[in-house]
Amino acid sequence: MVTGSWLRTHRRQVITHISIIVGFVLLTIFVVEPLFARLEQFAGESRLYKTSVPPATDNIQYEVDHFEATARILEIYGWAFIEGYDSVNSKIYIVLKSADRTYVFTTETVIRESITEQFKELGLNLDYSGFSALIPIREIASGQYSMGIYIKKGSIEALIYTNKAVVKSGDTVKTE
Amino acid sequence: MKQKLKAIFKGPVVFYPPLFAAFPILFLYAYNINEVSMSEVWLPLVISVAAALVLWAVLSLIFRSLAKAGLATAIFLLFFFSYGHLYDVLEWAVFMPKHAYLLSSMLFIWGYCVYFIGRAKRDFRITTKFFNITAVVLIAINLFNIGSYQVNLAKLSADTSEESSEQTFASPAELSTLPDIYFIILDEYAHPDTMKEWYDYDNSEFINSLEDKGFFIAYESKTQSCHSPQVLAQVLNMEYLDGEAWSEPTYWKIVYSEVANFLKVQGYQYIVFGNNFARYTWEKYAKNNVDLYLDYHGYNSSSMVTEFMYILWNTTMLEPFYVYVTGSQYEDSYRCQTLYMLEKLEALPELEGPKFVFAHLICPHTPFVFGPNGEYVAPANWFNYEDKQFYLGQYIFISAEIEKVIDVLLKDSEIPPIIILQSDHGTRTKINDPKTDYPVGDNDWQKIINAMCLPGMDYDILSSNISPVNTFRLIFNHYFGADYPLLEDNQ
Repeated sequence: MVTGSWLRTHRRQVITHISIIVGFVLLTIFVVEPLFARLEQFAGESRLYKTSVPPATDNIQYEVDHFEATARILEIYGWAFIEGYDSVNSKIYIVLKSADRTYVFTTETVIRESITEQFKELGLNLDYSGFSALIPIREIASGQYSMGIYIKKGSIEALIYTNKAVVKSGDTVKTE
Repeated sequence: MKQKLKAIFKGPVVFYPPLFAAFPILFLYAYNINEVSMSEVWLPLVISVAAALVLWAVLSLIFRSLAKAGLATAIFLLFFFSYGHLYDVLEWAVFMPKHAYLLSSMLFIWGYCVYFIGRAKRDFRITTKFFNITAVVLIAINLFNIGSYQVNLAKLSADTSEESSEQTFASPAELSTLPDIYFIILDEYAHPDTMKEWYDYDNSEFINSLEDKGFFIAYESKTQSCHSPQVLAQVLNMEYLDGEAWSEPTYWKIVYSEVANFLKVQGYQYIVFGNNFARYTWEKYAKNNVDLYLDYHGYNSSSMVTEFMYILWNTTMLEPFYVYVTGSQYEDSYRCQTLYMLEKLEALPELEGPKFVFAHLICPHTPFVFGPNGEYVAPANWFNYEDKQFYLGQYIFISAEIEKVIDVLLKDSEIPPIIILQSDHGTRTKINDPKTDYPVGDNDWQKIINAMCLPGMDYDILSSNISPVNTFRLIFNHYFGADYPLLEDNQ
């Protein structure tokens, strides 16, 4: 009874404060959170690379040593090179492709002298064939993605899809 | 205008806001006084007090009351400096909060506090008095602690400078025939047996390759302390020391060591590498007192945030903006400094004259920032002790890299160098919590790698359980004709 009469007399203030709180919540969800997502960067983070990828060429030798999803990050290590070409000045990208979306992410080059040694009969310098990718999963929409490796070396391009896959559902991500 | 000012200054005397702004910084400094230099404190202290004064002034103009503005400022400071703690508590006890929600919620609540303070009809006389007294007491306690520590430190410096002035320096030996001496410490590098037993990893390839390069491996060597400063002070002073591990006298002994003094008398240059750990321990003694101090942080001015600033920063509302403001992550500086040290070590043979090089690499110690080939590691795994792959990855990486460095040192040195490769201690278990401890046995911290490349020495006379404190006794006796008795190996 007392509460009811208080509400009646303070109706304007109550509406004002509720509006402020609702406004704050909406602002936080739709403006502040996306803004903060951009701020939370870390070393070695892969960037979304806006490019179109060619059809699969399958002329890439590769190995994925590590493929793991961990708290909002997809961690991928390995090595790759275009058959018949050395790895000097080549740039490796990770492709995540679903039925209706394709994302391309940058990687960090990792020196892998052991790969040159492993393929010494080819006589190629493969020291720069290593890659390390830390992909923030916030950048990809929910769905099932195949993992591909895309390499650019000057005007030469190559793409291969691996047997690795990743499934994002809401905030969680699983590797397959 | 005059009336406005009159209205602002009407009411109780207020002076606590700048004191509250200074308190968290002084408290953190006083609490970590053994590990922080005063020079690190001035910048955050000045910024904090100045910012609090500005906020107080702006709010005073709005409220036309110093007392109301002071209270609103104090609440802001409370929120600002407790943000990181609140975040940690929520993360530990409830869930991992998002900065976007927590930070904006706290600012929102503060906004409401400001609104209600502004509307209040009271002059906050009693509250102001209470906060004034509280602020003075808090500041006084911390200043007293800091002051008494500084007095003791000054006394210690005076004592030790007297000691060093009493030394007599002999004439240098024939410099061109003296070998360079590299003392390389790998922090928390586990013994191969530990790696086999607990990590299912066979490190014999690395060990065998060291032996092939002419190293003696003391397989049963043990350290006597699990505290890095104490271990370093013991090895560099060639004796078992009982002093407090984390204390100024120990840090002093690391830099002004018996080993360094002995070699300086022989004509050696004294080269020291800085690191994140040295910055809050012995760096202040080393920086201007060795022949060459190589530090990634000095070399890269964008990484000048010290550990003190980093910890302070992370307690505040600025925590989410660290990377954005500094341009890099603090943990990434471990990665950068390790790469810097490896690169610089390889270049040292080019430097003329005999050198004693002391390089302490904080690797494979946490944070785990290297994959097995030097890959980047996701932040969530930087302190992931439970999943063995992260320590193992960093262990494999540093083993391979240090082997490359040794190859270069052996190849590029005109006179075959003496190289000591030791871990300060093995992997440690502290409180048996799998989240913060290595999954190893209780005594594995004692087992270390102790590899020595001692050109021309008959390794048959060396014992496989030689203590690290005997390392330089052995070297000085053999190469410089000194007569240091060897201490008992397993004390």
